[in-house]
Amino acid sequence: MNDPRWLVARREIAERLRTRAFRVGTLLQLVAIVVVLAIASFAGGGEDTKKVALVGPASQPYAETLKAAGPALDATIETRSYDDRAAAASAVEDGDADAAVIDGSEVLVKTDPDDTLAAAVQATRRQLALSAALDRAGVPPAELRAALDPAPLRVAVLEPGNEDRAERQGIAFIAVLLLYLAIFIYGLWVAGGIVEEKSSRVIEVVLSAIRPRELLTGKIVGLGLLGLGQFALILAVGFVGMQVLDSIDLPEVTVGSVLIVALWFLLGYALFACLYAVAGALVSRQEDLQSTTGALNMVVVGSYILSFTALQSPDGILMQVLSWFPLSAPMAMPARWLVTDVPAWELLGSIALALVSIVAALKLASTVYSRAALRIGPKLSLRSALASREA
Amino acid sequence: MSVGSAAVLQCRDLHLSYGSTVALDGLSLEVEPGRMTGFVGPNGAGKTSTMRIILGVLGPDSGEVTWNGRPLGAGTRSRFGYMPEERGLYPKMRIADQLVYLARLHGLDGQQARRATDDLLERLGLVDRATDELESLSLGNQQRVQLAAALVHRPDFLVLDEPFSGLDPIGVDVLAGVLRDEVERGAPVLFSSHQLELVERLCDTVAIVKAGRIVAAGEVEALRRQNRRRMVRVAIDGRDDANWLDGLPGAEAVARVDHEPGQLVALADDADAQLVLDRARAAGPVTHFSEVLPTLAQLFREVVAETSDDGDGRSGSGNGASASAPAADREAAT
Repeated sequence: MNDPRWLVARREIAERLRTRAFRVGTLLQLVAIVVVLAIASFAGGGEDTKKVALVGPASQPYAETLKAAGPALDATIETRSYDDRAAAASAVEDGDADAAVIDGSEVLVKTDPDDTLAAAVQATRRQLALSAALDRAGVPPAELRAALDPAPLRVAVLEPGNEDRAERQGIAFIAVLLLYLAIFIYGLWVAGGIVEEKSSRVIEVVLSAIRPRELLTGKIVGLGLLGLGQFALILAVGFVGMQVLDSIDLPEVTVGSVLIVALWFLLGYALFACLYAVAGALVSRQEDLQSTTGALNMVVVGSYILSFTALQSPDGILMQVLSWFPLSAPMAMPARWLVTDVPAWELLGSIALALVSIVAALKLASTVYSRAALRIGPKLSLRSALASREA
Repeated sequence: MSVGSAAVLQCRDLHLSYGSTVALDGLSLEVEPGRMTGFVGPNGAGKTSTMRIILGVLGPDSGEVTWNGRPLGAGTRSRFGYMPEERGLYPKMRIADQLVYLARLHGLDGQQARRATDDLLERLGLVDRATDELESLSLGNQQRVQLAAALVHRPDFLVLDEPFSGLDPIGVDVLAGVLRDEVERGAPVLFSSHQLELVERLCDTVAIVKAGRIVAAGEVEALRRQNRRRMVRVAIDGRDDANWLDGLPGAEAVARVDHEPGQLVALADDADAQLVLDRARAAGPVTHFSEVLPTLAQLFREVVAETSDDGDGRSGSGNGASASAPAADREAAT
């Protein structure tokens, strides 16, 4: 492909991949992810395992029924037979077992603040007794099983449970944070890349071959693809790490959610990349960059904080406004979508609005960039750049 | 310089101002095929602006640039090679990668670009630095790479802004050789320079710009003769007066401005130089007799000084095409 935009994009990707800063930075982020997951795993996330010691033949029937009760306790229950009460008692004492059932007539626990395991044993006893009585009364085994283990009732939730929402909010918080970081970091890449071409003066050589808009578009696309790749790599390592280390209960993340977040990443990046391009075009030295990106950084941080705050009441008016406003929508809309049901027209409308603002931002960026690209020297104001001539 | 039609590149009546500062004030310039054209003028006269407009890096307020008589488009421009006054390439990019990239931006495909890069690095003696980052090279080698960046796509036309500045004498010779090769290959060259001796030595034609206008343009040789009294230098053994010249019509002794020996004699248009020689021989043994032409540097000083004295129009334009001299006494822009 010889399209100049594609050539520019390829150069951006290839050269940045070659830099030490990029490689080390990516590696550090991956290490950080793995370390965080490992710590979370170590700190005891994941499912509990409860061990129950069984003593005497009368206790043996408890094994199957107790194991079946595990999921209700949010735990895996394992059983093991011990020779006598003393052995079982010392196992409980030492923590080798969480509870012991002695001859089907006694439960030993060390401490059981919420009584859950003891209660499970009690329930098991009731079930075994019932089963035995029915069996003696001559109920056929098939009917017996059906009676003891009926098909579960269908559960209809009249008011959506808080627990479910809290989980969705958790995901949304993470999504907002990731989107914020991605927009911020990759936006600064664009600003820095543009200043680099001005400060090294290579810009004039390049602009004698291609148009400013082609250079700008190629740069934004290239850095965006690279950013998306880096982002995807980090997320992939995160997901795999969670599975392998079993550190965090992974909530149901649907393909749809991933696609929505990815879509808004692209929209948000495109919008802010254009704005960061303006900031970069106005200065000629890396040292001056802070003075023009400062205001923009505030906008990004502000959008993040507001979206984060609005997530506390995702159905509120603030969230609705933020999810439409183009500068905050890339963080707020996917967050809102993850937590509540967003009407399709709102989603499509906000996407359309974002696209319109991207077109406007690209136009602004190309204009400023064309006019400021060859103005080497002190920082330009946006107004003076717009007032000057078109290249 | 011949009129109009021979030129491959023409700038017509370019105007450009930055706010209240006038950079170009009706500048017209021609570049002919197979020629090396020098572009000279005081700082801020508009050389860089003109070159940027030719390359399309800058747009004029009015006026146009044509190539073979047609308005210049992006397709033709991508066949131009440019070395801007502000040198610079990607400091951390490897030089071969850099040249291949630029060649491809100029429309070469990957294979052509790599071949052209290899050839050029060979020619400029940079083969063993091909995979080095630009910033690791010496300043002299960086300048070679900069030249390579202008040449790598085998341009149809070369525009170089102060290509000789900062070069040592060896570097000057190398660059001069390369530019001659390019002209021979068929790419006319337009370059600006303050080193007028160099321009005089290298260029077939020259254009002198002042305050955004061309004040003199044409073949260097023609410019040196044009619009001025003929001048001869006569040295007679044992005489340093000019009395021997008395009474010869159309001949006038002129005070010397340089350190060469002998007497300068200005001749009227219809005067015969041989009569001066006859008089001189009669006065004593003649050790030196020659026609005196101004150097480009002298011409430059005259032209630039004159046109700022509200113009008496003596030096004026090369025939027709370029300068609408004398320029107003506007001070230099940009």
